[in-house]
Amino acid sequence: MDEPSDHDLMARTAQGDGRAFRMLAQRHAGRALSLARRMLGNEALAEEIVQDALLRVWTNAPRWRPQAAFRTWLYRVVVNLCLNARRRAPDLPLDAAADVADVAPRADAQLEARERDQRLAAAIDALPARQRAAIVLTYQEGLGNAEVAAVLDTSISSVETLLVRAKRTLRIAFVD
Amino acid sequence: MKTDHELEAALRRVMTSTDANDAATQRLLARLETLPPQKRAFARWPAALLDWNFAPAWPRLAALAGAAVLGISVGLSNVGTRIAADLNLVRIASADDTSTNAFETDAGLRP
Repeated sequence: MDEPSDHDLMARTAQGDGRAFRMLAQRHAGRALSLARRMLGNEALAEEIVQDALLRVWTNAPRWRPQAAFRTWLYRVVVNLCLNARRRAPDLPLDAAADVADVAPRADAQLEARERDQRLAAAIDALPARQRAAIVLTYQEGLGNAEVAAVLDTSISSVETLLVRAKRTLRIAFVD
Repeated sequence: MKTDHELEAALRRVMTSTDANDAATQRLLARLETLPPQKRAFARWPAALLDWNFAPAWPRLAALAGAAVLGISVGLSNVGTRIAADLNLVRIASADDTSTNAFETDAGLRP
């Protein structure tokens, strides 16, 4: 039996079907948490943000119009909440960055590569909020420029500009 | 440029998405067990009057009460009297009027 699509589940959620909403939440909560955690660098706040976003999905479901994919809508809510949180608390305490897994025997070159990746991860965390959002949505979530533009409520050319500027900054950290 | 390709590869490597740990996701889902009321679209309000489910529901009661108040207000006001006069439904009583018929006979309405 095929699983119901996001569109079908949202239609049922709009009718007040709590079970359909929980299926939708279960399907997307993990990725939304990863996105928020990467945007904020803080696990506890990421959970709060995603909970808030999902509750907004539930309360506003009767007004939802399927003009975009559900995932795009959810990511837009999550990203906006993250951007607001960063604006309100620019000195947010960051969780320690997770180590990149290394299964090969350590060698100088691999150690150097690992350190470079960690420098890159730190540089991503230090990017301006919208540039970080563009990088995370593109490279972590695998969205195309059009969908990133829909999530950020901007134009495709603006997304391209954000990515160019972000990569210019990251290239410096990566090469150094 | 080699650096650009290396940067792209590094970004994909560093940003490889792993779903948030199960514990965090389960905590989140547990907090969604109890859901608040939804915001109904404004366009749905007239439909409340057409719902013949006689279970008490405040939107329907509120709409009916509002309609009743509006009707009473219009009826008691000058607007109501003028409307009725235009429709020839009311014969304004006077001391000389001996007619007991409330309706104008030439309006074709039966007494």
